[in-house]
Amino acid sequence: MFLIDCYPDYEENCMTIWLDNKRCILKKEEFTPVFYVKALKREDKLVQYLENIPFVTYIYENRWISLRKKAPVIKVILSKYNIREIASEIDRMGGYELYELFNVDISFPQRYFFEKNVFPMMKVADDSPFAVEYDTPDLKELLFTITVDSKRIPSCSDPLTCITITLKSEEDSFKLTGTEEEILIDFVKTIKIVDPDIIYSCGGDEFVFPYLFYRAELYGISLELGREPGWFKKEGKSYFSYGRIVYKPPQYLLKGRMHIDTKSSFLFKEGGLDGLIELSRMSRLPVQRLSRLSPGTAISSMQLYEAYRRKVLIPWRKQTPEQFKTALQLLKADRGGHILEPKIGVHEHVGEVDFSSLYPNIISEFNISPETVLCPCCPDSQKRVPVLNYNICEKKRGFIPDVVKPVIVKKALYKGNPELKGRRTLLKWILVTCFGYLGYRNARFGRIECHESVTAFAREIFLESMHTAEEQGFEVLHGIIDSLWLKKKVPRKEFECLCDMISEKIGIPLELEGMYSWIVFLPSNLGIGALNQYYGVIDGELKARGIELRRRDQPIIVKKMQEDILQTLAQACTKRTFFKKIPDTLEVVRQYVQAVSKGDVNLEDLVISVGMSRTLKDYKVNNLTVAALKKLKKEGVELYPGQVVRYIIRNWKSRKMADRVSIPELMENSVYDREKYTELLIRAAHHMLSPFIDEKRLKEYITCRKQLTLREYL
Amino acid sequence: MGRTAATYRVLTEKEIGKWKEFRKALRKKDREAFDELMKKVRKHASASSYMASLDIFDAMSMAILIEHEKEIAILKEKSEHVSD
Repeated sequence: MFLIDCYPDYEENCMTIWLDNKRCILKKEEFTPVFYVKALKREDKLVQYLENIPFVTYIYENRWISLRKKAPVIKVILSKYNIREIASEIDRMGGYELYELFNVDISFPQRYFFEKNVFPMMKVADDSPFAVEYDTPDLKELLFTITVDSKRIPSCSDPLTCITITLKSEEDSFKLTGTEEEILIDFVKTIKIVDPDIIYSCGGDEFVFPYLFYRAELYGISLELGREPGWFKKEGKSYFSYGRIVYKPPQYLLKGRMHIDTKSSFLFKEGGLDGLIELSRMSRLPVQRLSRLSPGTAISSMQLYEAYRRKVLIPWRKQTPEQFKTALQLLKADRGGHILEPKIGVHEHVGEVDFSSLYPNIISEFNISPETVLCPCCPDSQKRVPVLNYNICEKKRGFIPDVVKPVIVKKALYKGNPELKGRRTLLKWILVTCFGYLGYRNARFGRIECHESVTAFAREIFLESMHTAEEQGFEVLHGIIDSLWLKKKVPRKEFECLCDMISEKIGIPLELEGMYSWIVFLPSNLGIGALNQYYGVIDGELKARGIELRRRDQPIIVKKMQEDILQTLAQACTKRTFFKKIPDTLEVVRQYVQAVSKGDVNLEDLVISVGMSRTLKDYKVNNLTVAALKKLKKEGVELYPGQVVRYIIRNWKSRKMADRVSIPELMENSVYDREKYTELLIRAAHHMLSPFIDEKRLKEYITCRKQLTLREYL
Repeated sequence: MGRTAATYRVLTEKEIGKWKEFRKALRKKDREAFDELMKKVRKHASASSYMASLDIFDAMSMAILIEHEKEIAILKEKSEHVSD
């Protein structure tokens, strides 16, 4: 029997538990949530308040209120499921400073799973979230898509014409047709008869379900698709994250089934159902909810559970301020990983070596955690953070390392098995985000000094690896945080030996990513090696970073040309043949330039897409984006920050703004600025070939049909 | 990172910016020499960044000295070949 999911029943004040034993069983279970309050002053007022609420009882306890401090607290036990309401009231009563609250904003499923020490998708009685080989329940999966009668972008006023249903087990699909009313009634019936455990939609949260609800209401049909009546709905919202506007669609969650929106779920797209189940087991977040969350929330949940396990209370709002630092300390501490400027030009006999999951490994190996870094119990500890000289606890194993370690181990065990790729991918995402959560302001168990310690160790490891490689006769061409590009005319085997040697020395595995037939490092406009801008052929495959090819704000034609240049160069397998291929690449550029100047191009290839950073009125300069936005506004189309504006350059130098760009959807003729597009092509070509030919000569060659000899450009 | 305090690469560019007027008053040949020196500075931004000293000009000077030392070594070797 499997424990699939649980969710609160706010009417009965109990939990609904979903078990699966070849068929689904929903049962109600009593469960009383608790939270804790520590009164800094006026405890009498708090007690008096609690006495007056009929469904609340309370007791005094002595608990860990942080990873280091134990204190007396009041445990508040509720028989009604309105924790938030009561907690907010207490907080308000104390003027937001007298009462510290704990274990408030933990969701009901998490509380249930944590307290009972169980987890979603668990085989009841005999299973562990750390298991690598485990059974999964046999879930019935159904996928549906809708067809709407609409010529443009579908909206709620357009009628529904068809619902297509696919059963995963039978690989068979059928259509529900007829009048709109019949379709909707049949849909509800079909779900009841098929009785799936998972319903997949494509855009269910953003459009499909809001739309179906609207249409169903017109006929008085109640759209009940769960095993219990009712839905968990959440409104959509826009919010700022790291200076960018992000839009989060509304959510439609079913009771007793799982609704997974294949279009909006990042984790489902990355890891599939198998990955979601893996992460659900590890993080103790139900699959349906998890599919709508970020990897960061999953790692947070793992931290919360670890706190529960260690009987540490979880603060409602984190209140650990940063320690004061001098300007020099800040300069020394507030840094990222180490980067070594690349040696410009083409190189051969190059291998790329990477530390896998460097940051998580550092956390685990060196015991980096909020309570271990700068701990008061071992000020003279032998374990020190390099350069920053923070002491690290020698007595206790940290709390974050205990969370991270199993993930690292599991990811390594899944390696090499293509069937487990989904699981591995999601674990990788957890490891990528766990470091960010060490310094994040809102992360409950984050602390900036941990963040600094991790990067300090990373820089030290980088330099130690660099020195070892050099002692072994390798030339270090370039390095970024956890990767090095090394050069030595020796067989692959010797690169692998070096990796083993460094792995052994450092205690974190260093792996050979691959060998380059050749690699080109590009200069920046300041004349030195640009960081992370290169292309090359690694183990027979092209790899390019930081060139226009990978950027969104360039027309497709530029990317196509660069792709062609790369393909031409890829035919070379040594540095010598590489040089022989350069005249061929110039021929490629010439063909593109000729096509543009003859008007022999597909207009779609000329479209430039730019992400908007602000609204039209906030743009200060009159650039092409502004010209395009103005044009769209005239047509009654208004775009908002975060959306993408598309345009074609019509006449770049025109004095009239409206003449500078065209909107592809509104174009009447195929006029475009041939000179400007030629310039864009030449600039992009030059960017790739800059170590070998200067821009002026490239231009001369392309536009004057001058034949360059090999010797001339070298 | 780079949000509370400026990164070392940004600070170096700021320091170079301080010499803008000085550069402007130079002759073309000297301006070119100045730019070459700044290239040498940028080449060692990672070492300066690792050291993270508050005296940015010191680190810049050291970067230039290193590049000059390397050039001297090359010239020395070449001149030895000539005298042979």
